[in-house]
Amino acid sequence: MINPKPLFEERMRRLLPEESDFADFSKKIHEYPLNFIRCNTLKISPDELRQKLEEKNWKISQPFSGRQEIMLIESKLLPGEIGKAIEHLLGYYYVQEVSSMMPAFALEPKPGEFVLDLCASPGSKTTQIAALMENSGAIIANDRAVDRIISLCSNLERCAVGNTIVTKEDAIFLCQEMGSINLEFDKILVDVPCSGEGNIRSNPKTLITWSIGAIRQLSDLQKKIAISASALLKKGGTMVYSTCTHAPEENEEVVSYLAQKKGLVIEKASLPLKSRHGIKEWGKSSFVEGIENACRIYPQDNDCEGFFVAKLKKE
Amino acid sequence: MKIRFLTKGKKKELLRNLEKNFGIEKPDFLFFETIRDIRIFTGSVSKEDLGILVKNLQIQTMGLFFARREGGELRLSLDATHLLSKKIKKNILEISSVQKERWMNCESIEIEKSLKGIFIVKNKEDFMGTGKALNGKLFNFLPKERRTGNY
Ligand SMILES: C[S@@+](CC[C@H](N)C(=O)[O-])C[C@H]1O[C@@H](n2cnc3c(N)ncnc32)[C@H](O)[C@@H]1O
Repeated sequence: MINPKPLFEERMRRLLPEESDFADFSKKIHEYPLNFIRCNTLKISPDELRQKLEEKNWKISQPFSGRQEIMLIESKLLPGEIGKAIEHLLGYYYVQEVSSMMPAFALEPKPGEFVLDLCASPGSKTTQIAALMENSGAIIANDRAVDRIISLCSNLERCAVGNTIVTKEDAIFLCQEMGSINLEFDKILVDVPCSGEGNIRSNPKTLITWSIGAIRQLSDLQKKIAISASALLKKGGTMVYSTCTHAPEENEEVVSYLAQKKGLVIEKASLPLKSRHGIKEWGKSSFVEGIENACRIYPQDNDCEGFFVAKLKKE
Repeated sequence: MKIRFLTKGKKKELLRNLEKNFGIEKPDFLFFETIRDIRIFTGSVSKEDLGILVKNLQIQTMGLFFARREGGELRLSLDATHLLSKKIKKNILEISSVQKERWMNCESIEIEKSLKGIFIVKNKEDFMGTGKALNGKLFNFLPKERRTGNY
């Protein structure tokens, strides 16, 4: 078991001031995450998939009514078994932790819309968005990292996503390019690179690499990316900003900056997971009105990974 | 990625081919081609608007790998057989569940000697791409990353 650095612990205690809550968090982050998958409704219905998986003697539950595509594999499986199952290779499901499904639910993409997924690799959310759009409209899915673009493309193929255009650019540069040809989007997802404090369960090494310096640097980058993206949002359009971290510098601070600079309104997203309000202040900073509408997803609340999701509207 | 939309003539030929070989009628996709492959765009963006995007953005890939033409044959991709599962009516070769395991491991499987040409492979309700029947064997074109042995 890797012990958290003292500063990480101190900051998490400030976010979770109740002793029992902090204790639950500290315990949960050392537990192996549950095995969630998302049914790829572009290829198969949740009922059909469940039946197939149950025929393999996998115990499956669908914990969220109205979101049947979210499936939990309750059986103990061998390492790698979920990835090499024929149903996975056929593209019937995508292995995705439940909290990572929340940004796309908050975005609510509709068939026919024009959507930008600015930091898209390896494509968990792009494939989910395409399924919600029933493969119609169009998605521009971008990422800067060559190796990750390869995974993105192969996941798009496996899931039979046919409405997506993939680009490999720096997000800020791409937004400038698209702005210069007056492209505007109905929906924009900005799932930025982050310090990953929410992913400790699946990636405990985050506790070793964690540093406050990295958080500061990431926060600056996230602000630049989010501001660039917001310029491409249609009037009436929705932008979702998300991270898999708890650090307020990467969450409320970025959203607050964005909302103030661009006059975007922070709306409450309706999510199937329990979430807590965005915090109103952190250290010397106090955040924009409406920030409490942002959603903080904690591992101890849902037996999931940690996430942050903010839904912003251009009025 | 170099993207060329299919000319009217080429599209007509492709549609004819799809219907003749697999009974697929009027697939509602925008077809384009890269050097070796036919790809599709399933989205609801006009060809003109797509053209603007293609012209102005450095595109890595677009849409979905649909089929490869090789030696006069048209081999539908695994994922194309999924998208078209309700429209495929002809030249379907049913395989057993045991054969399915071997197929997904990219092994060729024994079939009747009389069968020849390109078939769409199916086990129960699962479409599993295209295979080539020759001399009592069904040869497999599954891409590496979709084979069980490779995972
Ligand atoms: C949190 S991950 C995205 C996960 C992805 N949305 C998904 O659901 O599968 C952040 C991504 O941002 C990419 N990235 C980092 N800096 C970037 C930049 N300046 N421009 C574009 N992408 C960037 C990383 O390569 C990484 O793939």
